[in-house]
Amino acid sequence: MKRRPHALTLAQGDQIVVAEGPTHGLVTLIGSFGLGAAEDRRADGGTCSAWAMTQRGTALRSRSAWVQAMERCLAQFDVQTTLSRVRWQLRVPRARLEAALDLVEEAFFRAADDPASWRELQEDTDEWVRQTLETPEGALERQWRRSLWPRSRWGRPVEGFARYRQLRSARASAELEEIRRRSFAAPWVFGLAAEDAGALVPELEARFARWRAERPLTLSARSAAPPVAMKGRRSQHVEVPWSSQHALWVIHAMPPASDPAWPTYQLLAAAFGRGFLSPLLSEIRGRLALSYHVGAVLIEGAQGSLWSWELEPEGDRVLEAYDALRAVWDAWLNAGWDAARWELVRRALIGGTLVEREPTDARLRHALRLVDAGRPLDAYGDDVAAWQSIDGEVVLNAARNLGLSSDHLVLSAGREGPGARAWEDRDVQVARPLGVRALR
Amino acid sequence: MSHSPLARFSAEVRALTLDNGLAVFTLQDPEADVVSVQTWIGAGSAAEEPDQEGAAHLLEHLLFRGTAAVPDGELDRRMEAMGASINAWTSTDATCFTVTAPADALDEVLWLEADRFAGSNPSQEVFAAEHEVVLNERRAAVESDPESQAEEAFLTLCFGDSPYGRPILGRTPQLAALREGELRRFLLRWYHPQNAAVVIVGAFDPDALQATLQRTWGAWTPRGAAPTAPGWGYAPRRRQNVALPVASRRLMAGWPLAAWGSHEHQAAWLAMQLLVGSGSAPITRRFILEEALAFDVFADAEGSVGPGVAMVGFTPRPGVSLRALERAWADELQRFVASGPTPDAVDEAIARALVAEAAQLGHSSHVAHLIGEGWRMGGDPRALFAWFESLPTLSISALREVARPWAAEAPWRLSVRPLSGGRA
Repeated sequence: MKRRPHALTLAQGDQIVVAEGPTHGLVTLIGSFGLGAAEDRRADGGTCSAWAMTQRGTALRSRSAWVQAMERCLAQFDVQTTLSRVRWQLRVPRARLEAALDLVEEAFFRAADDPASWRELQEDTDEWVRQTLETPEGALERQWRRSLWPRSRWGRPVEGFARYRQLRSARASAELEEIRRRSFAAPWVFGLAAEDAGALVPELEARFARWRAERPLTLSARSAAPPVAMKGRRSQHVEVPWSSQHALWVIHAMPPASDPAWPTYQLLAAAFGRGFLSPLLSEIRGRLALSYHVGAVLIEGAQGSLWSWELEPEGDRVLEAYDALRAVWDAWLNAGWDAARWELVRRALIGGTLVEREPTDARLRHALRLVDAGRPLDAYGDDVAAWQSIDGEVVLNAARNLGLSSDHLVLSAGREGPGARAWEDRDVQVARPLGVRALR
Repeated sequence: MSHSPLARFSAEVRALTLDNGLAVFTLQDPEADVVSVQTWIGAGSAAEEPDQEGAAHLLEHLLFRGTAAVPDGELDRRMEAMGASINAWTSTDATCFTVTAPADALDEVLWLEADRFAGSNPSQEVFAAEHEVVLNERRAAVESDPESQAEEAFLTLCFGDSPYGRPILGRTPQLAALREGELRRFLLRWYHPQNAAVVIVGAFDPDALQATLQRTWGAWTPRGAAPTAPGWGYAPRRRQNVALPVASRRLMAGWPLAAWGSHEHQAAWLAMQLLVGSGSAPITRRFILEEALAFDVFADAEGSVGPGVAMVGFTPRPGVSLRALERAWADELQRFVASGPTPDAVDEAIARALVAEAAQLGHSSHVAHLIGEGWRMGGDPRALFAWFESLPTLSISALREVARPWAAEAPWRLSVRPLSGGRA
């Protein structure tokens, strides 16, 4: 594989992942701080809003003036908070990188903290959540963690819940600095994609050393305990009264991406996931016409990975869809595939990976995902070699041992659920249904 | 500009026409690992006759479902087994089939692509199943999504029952009633070499390519010049209020927009960028960043082969009326028309547009899209590159002039309010 990304350790001890290749004069710089919203003590979205405030102006200039200054650099800047980390990204023409980074620095260290900005942020967040809940998929997107890990910090939405967000806003000033300090105190990983990335590193090193001096590395440990693994079969329905169409997700726990068997699970996902080789597509969509969207995805997560089956049947075909998923899965496990079919899967995964990693910044993002998952960057490209050597029977055995037919969470959203009795007939324990109001 | 990546790409596009009239455009990148192949058909949902509603999109689906040589399911599997990423989309004016694959798969990709256009032959059972799948897609994409319903209502408001006013997927009753025979009529009328173009971008051997193209795509039977799409028109001026299960009130307003490729359309696109397209634009600055009047402001002046609609929409914050937003919009437009944007603001908006394009150029599929879209819009594969290149030639007076009608009341205005009791 061409232009393999590599990692360097900067003078202040943090790591930078570097991808060189054609970028048409643009630089992509990514910063990733290793603590996220799961560290919030309350469900108030504190970490998320503290970082969102870095895009609301600074002590030196209004939000409007800051945005216009960034636009004069022809830059795009974004900050995202997840449960496990805070990640920012800057994309800018090479010649304007330094000016854009000055603005990023100003936002990080002198962010706005006035009541009006906090109030606007809270209104924007509330509106965004309300819009998210307009569709069944949006409702499940907001609900799944909570159903999967109730009473755990990993079960909360990153933005928190509306009633706690109001509290957060009221005491914003007192906690803002502490939250940012905590995020900054974790180890950082930077990513850089550019045509002359190597030449840029010393310049960035000096700047990041200055940042680190403002917020010393204290290696603060995570305070959020990992969630308890799911046991048994559970179901929960979210009432979306205006939608006859349902979103149906069936979620299973998986080992973390650092597990030595991870390449085997990736091959499993290629065989039985979203692709056209999967019997899911040919049976559920092609033959039974149960759903336009159908697939299974493997989701890497710091708190353990997940396997999620997702489809969108009509409301009166939810149970039929659930039964069909399980029947297709069981039939596949029993019948297996011959060596030729497995060879097709391997080629699909390897070729698809080549296509996916075509642009330079896509190679950078993939390398950063490896680092986030706790895997060595040396593994970049090794997954391809691993897939080539894994036998189909090994994948099938791994699939049988995962218990995907036993412990799982069924989530549905739409006008009316199939009813508790119907799920109980399938040995699924039913939880109290929710309306979208409860998800705010 | 002449050294911009877009100019470089434009200069490297090669064009050839096969014996059957099929246009082929190529752009070689010997450093690439992958190759992108796109097949563009010069017809989309706007080419449908009244009893063909939904045909263009359903046909796009059926083109994945088997030929005499490649049984149902095999196309996808063979493509995927090569590591190819395969997809398709339908717009009002075009249908596009996309494949991006490792470079060594090109010959087989070309064979499979050519085969499905020359020999599409789905059975009745396949038609019935895919028909149901598309109905499901519509229920998921539109009937379960109030934002999509609002967009559909707005298009119908602007274009009435003419082809541009109908949803691309078709309305549910009309789509449900669509017959297989109508699909076949649509296929025979629009799917032929003189109404199609193939775009190939990435790693390939140019010396070997021409023979491969003739061997694969050359077998597609020509059927004469492309026909003319059905006529259409704007709907009369109208204001409409609808209640949908949306989170908040919103307003959508539209004005007539010149056809793509015209000087007026290009000016309208840039004027909308200057008004709404960034945090420096006066509407966004005032509505979002400085006076906190709205949660969001959105605009569209992308245009189409035929005349289109320049659209703007607002979601007001609590306590701000739609009327107040309309007044603020009119104020800013009058200022824009009276004094125009500064030359610096124009330069900056153009530079931002070019940087946004440059950020996509690492994807061979995006470069192929630019070439295909140019062909579809004006028959010229370099048209879109030239379009970006010529943005600096627009005068400030042209920008002011094109925005003048937007300062007046919009001919089409849709107000959306949350459905009372319909949502939490």
